[in-house]
Amino acid sequence: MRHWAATCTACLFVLSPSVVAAQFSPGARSVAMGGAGMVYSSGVDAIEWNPANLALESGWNVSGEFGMSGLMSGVSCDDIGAILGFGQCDSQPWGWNFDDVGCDATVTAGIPDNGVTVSTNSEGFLTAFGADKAGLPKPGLPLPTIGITVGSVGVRARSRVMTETTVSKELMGLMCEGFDPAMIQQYQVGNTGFRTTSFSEVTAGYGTTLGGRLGVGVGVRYVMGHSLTQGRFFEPVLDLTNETIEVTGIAVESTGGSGYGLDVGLALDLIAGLRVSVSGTNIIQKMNWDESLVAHEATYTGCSTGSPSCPNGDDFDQLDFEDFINRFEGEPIAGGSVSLPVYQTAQELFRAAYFPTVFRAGAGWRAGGTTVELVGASVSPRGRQKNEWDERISLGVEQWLWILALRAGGALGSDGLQAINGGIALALGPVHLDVSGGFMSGGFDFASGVVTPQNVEYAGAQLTVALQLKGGGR
Amino acid sequence: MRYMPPNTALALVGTLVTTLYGCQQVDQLLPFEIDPAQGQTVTVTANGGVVSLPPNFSIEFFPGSLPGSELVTAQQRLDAFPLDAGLSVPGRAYDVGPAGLVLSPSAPARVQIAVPDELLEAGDALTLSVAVVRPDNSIVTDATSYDLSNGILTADVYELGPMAAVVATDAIQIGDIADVPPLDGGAITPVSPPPSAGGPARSHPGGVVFSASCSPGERSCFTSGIAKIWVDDVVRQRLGSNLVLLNTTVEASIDFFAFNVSSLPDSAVGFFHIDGDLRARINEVVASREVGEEIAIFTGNGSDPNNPEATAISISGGDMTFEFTSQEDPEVIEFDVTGVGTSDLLTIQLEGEIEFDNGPGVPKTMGAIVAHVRLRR
Repeated sequence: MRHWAATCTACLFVLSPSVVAAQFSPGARSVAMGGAGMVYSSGVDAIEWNPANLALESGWNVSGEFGMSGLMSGVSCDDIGAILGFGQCDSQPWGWNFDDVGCDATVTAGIPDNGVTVSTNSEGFLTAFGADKAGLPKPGLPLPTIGITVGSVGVRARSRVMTETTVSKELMGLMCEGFDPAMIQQYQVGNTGFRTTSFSEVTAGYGTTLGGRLGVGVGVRYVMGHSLTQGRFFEPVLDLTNETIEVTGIAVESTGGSGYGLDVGLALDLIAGLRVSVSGTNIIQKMNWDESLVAHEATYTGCSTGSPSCPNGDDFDQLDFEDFINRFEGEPIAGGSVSLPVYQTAQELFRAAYFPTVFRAGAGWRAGGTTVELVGASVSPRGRQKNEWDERISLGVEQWLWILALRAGGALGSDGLQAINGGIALALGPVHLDVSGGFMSGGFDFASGVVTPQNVEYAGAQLTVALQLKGGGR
Repeated sequence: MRYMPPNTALALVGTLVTTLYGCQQVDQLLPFEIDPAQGQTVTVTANGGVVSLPPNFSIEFFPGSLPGSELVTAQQRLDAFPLDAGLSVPGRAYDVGPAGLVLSPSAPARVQIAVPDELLEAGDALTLSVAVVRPDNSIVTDATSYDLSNGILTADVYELGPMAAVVATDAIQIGDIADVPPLDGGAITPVSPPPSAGGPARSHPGGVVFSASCSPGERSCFTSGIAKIWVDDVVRQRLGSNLVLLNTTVEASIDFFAFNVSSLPDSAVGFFHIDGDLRARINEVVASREVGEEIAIFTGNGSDPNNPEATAISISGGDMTFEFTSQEDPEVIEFDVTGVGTSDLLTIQLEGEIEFDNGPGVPKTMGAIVAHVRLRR
């Protein structure tokens, strides 16, 4: 059993904060309500969801937030339990002991034939923290999400790292079990690759009312790109004479960029606590990445340790996870000196490397301490700097009980993704502590009577903690 | 409420739509798009470097490939590529210079050519190679690997010059060992009468010499029919069911220089050697395995295949028994003799084993390879 392989498996299958850290959507309140929360968002949340609410909700707010979440496609939660030998997901997944996670043939046998895809959207602070703990290169700017609003204006800054990684079953097997010449027919890289985008953004929002009931808002965002990386593994070069394989991974990186975005929103208060709300994020946007590219390349050799054709040993047997990552060496790309694999990898780098326009519409009802919201989000097909769970319909409810708020919600995403979330908020004067989380899946057995499970393999989770100072307003 | 004329409203909507559409982002272009016909010149040092013609060609020099700095040029080849190399893949021929520059044998340069499968006919992937024209117009072909997923043909080259992706035409299909035809033996008779003084020189008066020679640069082993190959299920299980032998070279000669009273040969000297690249498709990769030692044999007790020693032989039916060879002692070789015109064709069956590693501490797996080599007198 290999230590690094176990670590790698853990990275893929365990939603540890160190790597698979992400925000399901901005705001702990929204996370708890299954991605709803737009209609009555307030303070710093409103800058993201609907700047019109800055005028309707008013007040002041200082917020700091950490969030983590990730989603795997290709496996269900039950699959993960079976692969790791933990049993069914329903049997208390929070009791799984990841210290025992190994990486051997029994584990890789359970991986789906088409591999596993992990999508994450993490805050720069948590990503940097996790990378530091794991001894990996730090991506992006290590900042938490912070913001302040006063009255109808506000500003929020956050740093994010978005990743999408796909690993083929065969490559996972090779990494877990080491090279075996008798298995040379089975090794293939398939669709193994990754893409990471790290950036920081500062958004300023302003809202105003027209006639007292209609709120109109606008948000302007500046985006500072830190890194855009496209990675790809190529099919192994097989030396059938010496029975060795060479697996080459290429990552092409743009090390900076800048852009902007414009958001608009409308919110209308109807009668009896009813409100309808629409917003558009990145109605106008632009993102330009630096064209000074760096190519990172790493080659790993699989061979029978001890044989004459294996003077340096089997990389897949002796490298730990940190060594595996550190093998990548970066060189600036010069025109006319681009190897074909680098060129092919770079082809995908700039394709739709910008943010899509997201339209949201929702309706909500609020009376006393009770709030119910139904929100739908549609994502433009242009622009791939988005998450798989961005397009969804969410239903959420919030109930305040003196200083305590209970929140719950669910979402139906595109491609059969389902989410069930919950959370609490504790308000002691102006100090608000929000904790929320939930699970994503292709279907929940216990909720199958309400929502039909989709025949899609997903497994994901999210957790968000926010500390806010709030006052004034509604 | 103020009234807005329809034309004004339409104009406003049109302006808004146009503005939004105009602000739609388009993909950035890569900063290294070039015109392949213009070519590329890069100074490559002893530490290595890459010369490329995106999107279809690159050559990477490793540390030590070159003894010092060289101005390496690469350009799309406009002239036709020599047909001897095989069928050229359209648009995948390049002139790489300085032509004739020899690279370090221990650090060849790695050539990669983009060959999407739409440029190939069915089955061509298995015989796809990189051909390099040498200064004497001979052609060297090599193919380390072909990545079908990404359409990248990779080969190591030891010399610069015109090079192209070609579909080799001398590939020998590998059959199944169960289909090896039986060899029925036949008469190998001494030449009578002995040659006159002015006749062709022979190793021994009255002896009979059979020989065969083919190679990619001369007479093709495939079209000449000199060699046929079969392998067993073990080889297929390890390498795949669809196999061909590329770059086949056959050198074979056997001199039956003494005959007994029954006019059967009882002494001979000779050698048989086949080498080539056994090519197989493994998942999404076409890869090669060198074949050479596995099907080579020479007579006598010596150790130099270039100077075989004589050995006693005996013939029984379709079996020819060599008393001493580089393989077993004695070695039984099946054979068949047929007459063609004024000449005779001797077909001999060579059998070898291909070793497959199973990792540390695990016994190797042995596969069988059988070749028929046809020699002409």
